[in-house]
Amino acid sequence: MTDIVKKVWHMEVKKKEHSSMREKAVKALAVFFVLMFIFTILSRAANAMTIPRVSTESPQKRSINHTIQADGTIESQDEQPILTVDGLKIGSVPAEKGKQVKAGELLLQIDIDDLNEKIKELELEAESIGLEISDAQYNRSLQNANREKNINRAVDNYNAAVESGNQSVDQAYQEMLNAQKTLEDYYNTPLSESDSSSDSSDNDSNSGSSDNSDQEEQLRADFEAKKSAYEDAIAARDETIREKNNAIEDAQTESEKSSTVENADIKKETLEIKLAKYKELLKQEGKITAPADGVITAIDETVVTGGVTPVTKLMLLAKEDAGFKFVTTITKEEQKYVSLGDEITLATKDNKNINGLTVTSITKNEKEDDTYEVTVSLNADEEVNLYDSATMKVSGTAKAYGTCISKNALRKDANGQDYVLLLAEKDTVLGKQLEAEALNVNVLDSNDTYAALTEGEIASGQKIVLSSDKEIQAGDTVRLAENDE
Amino acid sequence: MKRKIVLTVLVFMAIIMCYPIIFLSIGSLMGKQELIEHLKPMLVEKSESFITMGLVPVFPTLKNYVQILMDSPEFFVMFWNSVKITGSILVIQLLVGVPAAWAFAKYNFAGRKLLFTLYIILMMMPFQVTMLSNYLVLDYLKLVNTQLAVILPAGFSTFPVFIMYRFFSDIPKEIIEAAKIDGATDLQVFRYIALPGASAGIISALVLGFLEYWNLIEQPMTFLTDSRLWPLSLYLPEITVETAGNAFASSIIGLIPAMLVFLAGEDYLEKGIMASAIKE
Repeated sequence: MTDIVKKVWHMEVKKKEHSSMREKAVKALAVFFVLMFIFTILSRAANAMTIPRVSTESPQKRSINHTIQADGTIESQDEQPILTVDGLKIGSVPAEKGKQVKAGELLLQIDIDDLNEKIKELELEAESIGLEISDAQYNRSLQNANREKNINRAVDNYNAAVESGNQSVDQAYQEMLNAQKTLEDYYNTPLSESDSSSDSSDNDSNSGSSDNSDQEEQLRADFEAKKSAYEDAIAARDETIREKNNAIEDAQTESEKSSTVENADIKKETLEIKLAKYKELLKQEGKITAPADGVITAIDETVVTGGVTPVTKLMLLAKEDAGFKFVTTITKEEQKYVSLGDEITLATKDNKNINGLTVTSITKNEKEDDTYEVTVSLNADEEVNLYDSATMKVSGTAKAYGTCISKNALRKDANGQDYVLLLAEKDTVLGKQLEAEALNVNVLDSNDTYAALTEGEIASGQKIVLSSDKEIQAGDTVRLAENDE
Repeated sequence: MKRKIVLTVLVFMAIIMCYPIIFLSIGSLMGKQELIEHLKPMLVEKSESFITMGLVPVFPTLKNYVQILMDSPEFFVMFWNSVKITGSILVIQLLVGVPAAWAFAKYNFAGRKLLFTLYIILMMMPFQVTMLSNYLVLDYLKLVNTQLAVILPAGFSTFPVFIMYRFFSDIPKEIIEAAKIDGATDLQVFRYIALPGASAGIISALVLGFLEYWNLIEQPMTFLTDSRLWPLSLYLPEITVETAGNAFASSIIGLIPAMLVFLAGEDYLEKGIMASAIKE
């Protein structure tokens, strides 16, 4: 009986166990499917949140218009430097940078005591230079007198030498003529005289002929000697004359090469000019005033109370009636689209537009490479204030292109290659999804807003990624932003 | 003593049988680096060593599960595809197979034996044999690359008919006759006597069917080219370094419904297997 009960009991328990296990398994299965359903929604939501949303555009025909916009300032057309004599002590500087001043308004006060002192110093210096000049002049006159004397002496010597030389020559010449005459006389004596004399002394004929030839020889030698003496006398005279002539020339050139006097004169003149300026300044009680109405645009950094006036300008005054100019800086790229004479619009800081102005000058900025300074002249009656900021707008000529995209859609890779991200459909487990595909493009022209690409590079209906709420790269799965769908 | 030896052998064999599940469970709790270390021989080409798997993860993590459940909508697409395919197949089997089995069991009609023999022959043919003819028919019906290409052939499978036939046959003829004498129609007999009488067989056929169709691989691979239509068994067809952890976790999650269905229908399953083993 007990066994039967046990068996029955065990069977019931087993049945119960199986039954509860089945129920649990079914319940667990139900829970599992519910959980899977929840996770399906969660994973979809997470996926939707992580996929970048992109806005797109399609390439369009468009004109690329280069509007250059540059900020700059209003400056004066004419800036006058305020100058004074350098080296003066500055008493006070009432002028300030940017201060509006009227004509005659005090800009700088020179220290009067210092000015007086400087004038005194200069006067003394001028006096000293005057004395130097008179000394130099006296020395120069003494030198001139000596020179004159030396020249006269040399001329006298020359004349005396010429006279004495001529006399010697004349004398030698006369002696030579006499000797020549004696010789000629000897030759002209008739032969009979000679024969008779030879007959009379027949025995001594041999001795007689030998006497004649000795005489002739003697006379000839005498003549030759006189001739030589005459030639020597000429040579000696010429030599003496040359020497004396040289002495005259030496005496004439003998003069001290000196410009002391002229230098001192120049120095004195300079001092006098400076002195005149000082005195003029003193007459104005050391006051340097504005020559016209305007604004002080710059003050030299050395111009401070107690400082010393510099060699260069004290300050710059922008004259009010000279008119204004707008000055700005543009880049090399922008410079391609701005030319001299281009019409511009100037927007002032109080949102007033000035039209009809033209570019007056474009110069390369020396301080900064690859930038240019553009100046636009403004009429004097324009209602602008000096140093106000303003914005220049220049619109260049527009050129039409077949394939244009927004500049934002254009991307650059690490190698500087331009590319765009196109949207391409791809089949995935989740269905058709959009994928960003990179396409290298060639940019023909661009402005701040649009870029023109080589025509046909992108089909007209093709969607290009314009912006994205997350950083995206080629190959990323994306979805369209809601307002783009 | 003998009993202990038998028990030891059985436990050892059970461990060997369960090892793939243990392997999957441990792997699904491992981090990426740890998995790479263990699976290197599989991931690296021409490796001569073998895959290893520790008994406990060094750095256990649920990251793989979180990633599958929270960050893989593709997994759920395939999961619900599996549910859809399996569910549809089972519904068709219920609607078509149950009456067919009842007819075979209790109605005498011309060609019954021949037809039933044909059923058994078809049941015994593996998928590879009927694949081409299946494909040609499905292609003709323009059903290739639709889930119906998997659902319809499986829905009209002969195996559940065979199992249910066994259970319907066991219902005593007398009960049916008694019911008919009491004025019951054929439909009433089917509804009130056949179905409750063979419920164990029907459930076992469904459980067996679920286990088979939940893990379908060849049919979807053959007939479905669009990955959107694939069932869970084709999730992550290629395991890479990046996807290994996910593959482990998804396998474990995919295992859960099969296990629960098995537990729910364990009793019926035994009966069903028993029934399919009895020859006519």
